[in-house]
Amino acid sequence: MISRKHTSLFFVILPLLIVFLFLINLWYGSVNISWIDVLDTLMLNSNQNQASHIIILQYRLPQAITAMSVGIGLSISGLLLQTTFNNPLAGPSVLGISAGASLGVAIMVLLGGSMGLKLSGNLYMLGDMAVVVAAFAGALLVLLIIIFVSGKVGNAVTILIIGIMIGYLVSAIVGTMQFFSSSEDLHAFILWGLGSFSKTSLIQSISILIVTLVVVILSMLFVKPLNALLLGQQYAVSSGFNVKFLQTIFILISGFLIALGTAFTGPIAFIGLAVPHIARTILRTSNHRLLLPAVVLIGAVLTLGCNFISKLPGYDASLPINAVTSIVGAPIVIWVIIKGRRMSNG
Amino acid sequence: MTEKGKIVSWSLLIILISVFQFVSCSRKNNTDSVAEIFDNYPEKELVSLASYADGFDIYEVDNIKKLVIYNPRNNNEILSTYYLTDSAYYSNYQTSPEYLRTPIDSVAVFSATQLNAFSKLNILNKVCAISESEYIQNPEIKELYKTGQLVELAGNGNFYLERTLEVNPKIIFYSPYNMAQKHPLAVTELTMIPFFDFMESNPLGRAEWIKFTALFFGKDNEANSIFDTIVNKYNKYKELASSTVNKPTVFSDKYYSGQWFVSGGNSYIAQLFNDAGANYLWKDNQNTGSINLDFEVVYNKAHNADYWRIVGTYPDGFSYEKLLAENDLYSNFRAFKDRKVVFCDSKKSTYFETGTLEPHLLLADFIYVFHPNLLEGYKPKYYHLCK
Repeated sequence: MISRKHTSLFFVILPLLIVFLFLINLWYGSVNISWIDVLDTLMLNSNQNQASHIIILQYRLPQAITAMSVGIGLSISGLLLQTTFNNPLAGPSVLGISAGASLGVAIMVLLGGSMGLKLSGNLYMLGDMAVVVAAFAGALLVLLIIIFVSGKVGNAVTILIIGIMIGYLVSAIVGTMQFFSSSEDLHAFILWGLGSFSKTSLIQSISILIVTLVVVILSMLFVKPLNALLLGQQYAVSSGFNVKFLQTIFILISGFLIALGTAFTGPIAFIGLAVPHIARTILRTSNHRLLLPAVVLIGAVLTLGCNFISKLPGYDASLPINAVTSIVGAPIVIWVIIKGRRMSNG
Repeated sequence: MTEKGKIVSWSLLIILISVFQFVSCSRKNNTDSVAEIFDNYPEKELVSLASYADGFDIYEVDNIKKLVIYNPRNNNEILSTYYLTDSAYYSNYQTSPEYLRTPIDSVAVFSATQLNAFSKLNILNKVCAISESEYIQNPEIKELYKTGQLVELAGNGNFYLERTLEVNPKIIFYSPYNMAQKHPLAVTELTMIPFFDFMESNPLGRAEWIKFTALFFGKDNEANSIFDTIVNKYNKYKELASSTVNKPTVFSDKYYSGQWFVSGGNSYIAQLFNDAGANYLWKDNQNTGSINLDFEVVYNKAHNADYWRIVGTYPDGFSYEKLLAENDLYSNFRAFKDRKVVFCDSKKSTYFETGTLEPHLLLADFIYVFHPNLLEGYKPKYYHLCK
């Protein structure tokens, strides 16, 4: 374990980094806006009809808030799942929950087209809100199946395997639907799959943030049982915890967070899996009292950083966020893990 | 070998050589293939019969028409060449597989846009197969499909290989998005003719593809007269709008899933805007297709624009409330606040099927929106200004 001093330094630096990255996200984009305009807008000093005012307040601000919230939500869910299943590979995509969201969107966008169920002839007319509802419904459906199964089967590994199987099943169904869809519908579906933080309005993004923070605070109540679970199910049982109940609660919490994030932004890969590892390696601890807040901070830093990187300089479009999180994140995780190994060996 | 045998074999050899010489002489006097007729022809005198379209050229020599199809992404690259003639004379020595005798009696048509040309040329009876039947709106074709006179060879992006072999059309008109990929029906070895009207960025150029279609069915004169009428009407409207000094600003399309696909400055729609006397905000862009932009880029440039053009369809028609429900940010555009959305209901107006051959009406619709005093009493067909 690293020294207390390092730990407190971590919890001072990261919030500052979040504030810094948040402001950078508001200032930097395809359209050049000066710092003064950014500050004026934030102080509500600027003319409300000014283009920069609207771009910052209604486009970049919700984007940054959504990025942060989704980063926090996915990271927390990753940590909860990894502890619940006692498996370092657990994450949002593993339980099939993001696949469930994809299924919802695929039914809406792809199947709707070929079955004539589509509300309109032109899929771009569906709007993002309908897609959000579909994604949420799909994710919750898979979540319910998993909770149902976990009620029947107590074994965490079995639930994990069933989750993976559901994921495969759902992917196969989505793949089949893709095969039978028109190129236009496919394009829309692929766009959704690339992920984007810029599909939410200011009110939506603030709601996502509040809901996420409430769930985060809620999960803070479970630090003790989480630590107990870490030492094995039997240890948790002997400590007087109802493991089955806890598992259901954790799956429910993480599933809800994943569904929320995926619905509004598309399936964001990688964050949920990686952030807990980064937190564990940096803090050199498995204590959830430290890990939970650390994961929240690192998740926010990572998504804000990725959102910033996705806005390429001198280019009028942004890179898809899903590509950026993986391209930027994967090397970080590899580096962190190798470095962590070396430190523990040396 | 006996003396007699030697004489016989020698004389056989001589006969063989002279026959060979005779054959090769006669071929030299004439030409090896239909292609050579064009190769030997003085280049200066070859003038393409297609004047607006970039995607194809038609040359005519001695009652043979040479059709050259270019790669729409690179107009210097020839994708395929066909020789078409209704004269039996050339078939005696034709050697090239691209040689086609017209009129063709059966064709599979894989795009509803192309079917409209068949309908105008009165040759729907030559069409033996279609694709994506559920998206076709043309009533005649719907009826023929229902009664089984037309067969469907592709649906939802999948091609029915065995049925295609069974129907065995003489030629297939298809619209590939990606030429690098082999077409799923290529294994049938049927004659597949790429049809790139949708890649044409000039409105008249896109309409000119009716000449392309007509070529295969000996309907050249009809196509020419239909096209000339379109050109005349189009130019008349264009002339009308060219006098305008005050050019309202306009932008186009919508934001979807984090991207705003904006029509390029050299695109089909950009040229219509220009000809209709409007100032398209992305007119300086060089792209002929569309470009994907961040919301803020579009907003920054277009928030004060006068008009906003959208093509699409809503179940019970367009309304500003429905548009706003898709994205709250739309309310910040002046064109939205002032109710200046120019909307084309692609389903009700059959825009994608009939619009191609009515560029003059698209143009007139726009002129009526941008400069209503120029066309008083006009009834728009595709684009309406939504109040």
